[in-house]
Amino acid sequence: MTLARPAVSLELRRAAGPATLAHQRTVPVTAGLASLVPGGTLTRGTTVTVRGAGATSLAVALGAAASATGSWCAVVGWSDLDAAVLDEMGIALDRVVVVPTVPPASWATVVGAFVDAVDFVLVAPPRVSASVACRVGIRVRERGAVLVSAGGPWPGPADLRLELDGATWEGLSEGGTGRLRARRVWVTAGGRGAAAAVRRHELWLPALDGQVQTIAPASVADDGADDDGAAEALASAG
Amino acid sequence: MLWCPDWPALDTRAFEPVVAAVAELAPRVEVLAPGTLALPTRGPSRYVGGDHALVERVVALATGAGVPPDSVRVGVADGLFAAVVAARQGQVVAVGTSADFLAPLPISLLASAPTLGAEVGRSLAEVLSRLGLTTLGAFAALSTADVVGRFGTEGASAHRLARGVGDRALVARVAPPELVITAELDPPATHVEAVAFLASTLAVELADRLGASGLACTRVAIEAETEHGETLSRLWRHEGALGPTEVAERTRWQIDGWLHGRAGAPPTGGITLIRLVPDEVLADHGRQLGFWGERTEADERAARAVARVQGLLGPDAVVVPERRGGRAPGERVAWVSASSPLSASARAPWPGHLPAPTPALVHAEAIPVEVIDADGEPVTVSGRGAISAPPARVSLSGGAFREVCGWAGPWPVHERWWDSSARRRVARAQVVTDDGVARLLALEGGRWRVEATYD
Repeated sequence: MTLARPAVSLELRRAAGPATLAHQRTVPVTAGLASLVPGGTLTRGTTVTVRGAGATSLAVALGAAASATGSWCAVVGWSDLDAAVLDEMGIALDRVVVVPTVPPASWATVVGAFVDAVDFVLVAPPRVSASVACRVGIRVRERGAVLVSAGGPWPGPADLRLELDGATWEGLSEGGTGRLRARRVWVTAGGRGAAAAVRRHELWLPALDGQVQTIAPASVADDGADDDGAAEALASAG
Repeated sequence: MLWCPDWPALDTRAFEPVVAAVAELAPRVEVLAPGTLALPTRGPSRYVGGDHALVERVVALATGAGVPPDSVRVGVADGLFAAVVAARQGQVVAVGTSADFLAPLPISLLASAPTLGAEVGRSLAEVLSRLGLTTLGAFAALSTADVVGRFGTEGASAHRLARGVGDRALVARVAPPELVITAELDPPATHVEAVAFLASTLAVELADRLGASGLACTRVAIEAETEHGETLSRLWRHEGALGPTEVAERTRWQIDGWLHGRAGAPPTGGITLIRLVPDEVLADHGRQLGFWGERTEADERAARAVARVQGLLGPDAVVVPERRGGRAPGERVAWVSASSPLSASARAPWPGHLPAPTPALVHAEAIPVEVIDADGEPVTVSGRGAISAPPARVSLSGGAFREVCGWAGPWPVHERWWDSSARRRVARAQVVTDDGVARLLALEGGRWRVEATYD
């Protein structure tokens, strides 16, 4: 007589697995960016897309606190990223691995390998189909990493969308004196789930001391028609 | 023992022809590292007529395989450690006199012992020389019991080396056959890329099986067979123990060297079988994953992911940052291959480098930009670093002109003026356009380009 072994669903196996405390399911975010992220920390399994002028700096800054607590950081598909900016934004250089160029056919495998092993994966949006991006998103959710895409449109669904606009620079004076010192930039945050409410914040990216800071929060409803337009664009994009 | 001191650490594949040439003399050639190999001499020596004749034969074979004659060192001695030292000096040490040969030599040579591990050897040599034991002979004169009592098992094996007793650890043994990992390839592989991924999978499997039996592997035989029955087998030894990354790397080197004909005789068919045979195993003392200053679990996982991606895209596809120094954007921290050995970080000040914030994107391919002043005239910078007029509008790669709403500069840089071929004169300026994007422009040879973007 043979006993057929009942198929155990993935759900059940996950439910029966070792319990995880809520705070272990998150990745820390620097205090200056906490207002952009629902709950002030990035939930593991989140896909984030960052767009607009300054997207690279913001995306890198999102990983700084995680890196400082010992997490590894993988960067895929950025051939022109200056490593000095990682250092400046607070990513530990001895816990970074970078794959500067990836053939599109291997993109999903490479990102998948890092998603399995590393807490924070930063990608330049690839020329891949929405279904590939969607699959990678599911893997991120299963493995509990944080995937941040910056510098272009992410072809799949994203949990948190950050759009930058209205950047102004400080430090330049008349006649070519001075130098770039600090940047103020507006960030519109939206997404799905806990991040669904559209928020708009002004950030120092970076401030005079090199840190990333929130200047003052402002809600969309109080702002002018211009911001409503941005919110609408965001809603339609999501 | 054959040692090529000038062998480039990264050009490992090209060593295969040398191994193949020397393997004609003795079947059990073992590769310690690219550029260093060892072979048992007793049989071959008798065959060619003595140790000196053997040395000449090995030198002739190595130079025949393309190694420059002045960078070949061959030495003969009892035991691997004495042979490594003898090779550095190009000496033939008579049988039984290794202890006398080693006795007057400095204790720091322990760092080059292949079976001890460079780190262990170096720290041990440091402690011993602080204790006043500056030669291997002085260390050898201590009683074994005292050395074990003070330095434990690692000290005891170093003591054996210093006494010239031979350095095969006593507990090393041939691995049980169930630890042999075999994989068949269908279709046969004719490119190293096809084998590389499999190699890393096999290496991980080998590490898992060894780990399950509580063993660590110090020497592995990597064997490959083709569809026409040709075989290639090489022994690889590693200081300390061979982990999955090391095994995968060595498999890749070996298959690459064989397939691409650098070994002289490329196989006539594709590779159909790969076998990893742990040739010498030791009881694994285990490693406690530490909290501080040691490899954590996260480090281990990241290392495995790196090995996987390297298997997929090639060893140089994954890079890690390394502090260098420089003035231009992108020069201060360079990218180096993740498999290259780590060098010390340079944190020296670079006067004249760009102040923070650093532009995030450095354009490898220069983006041409046209910079004009309010009158529509091109903006130039004089030899004394003065700008002709404030920039008013810029056009990137021939696109539409954008208004400049802020600028700073020009900052002339005159680098390596003492070297007529490498000297550089560049003037840099920061320009913010009306869309809020700041860029670093550089004027070199009369042409402006976007050097970096503050993204």
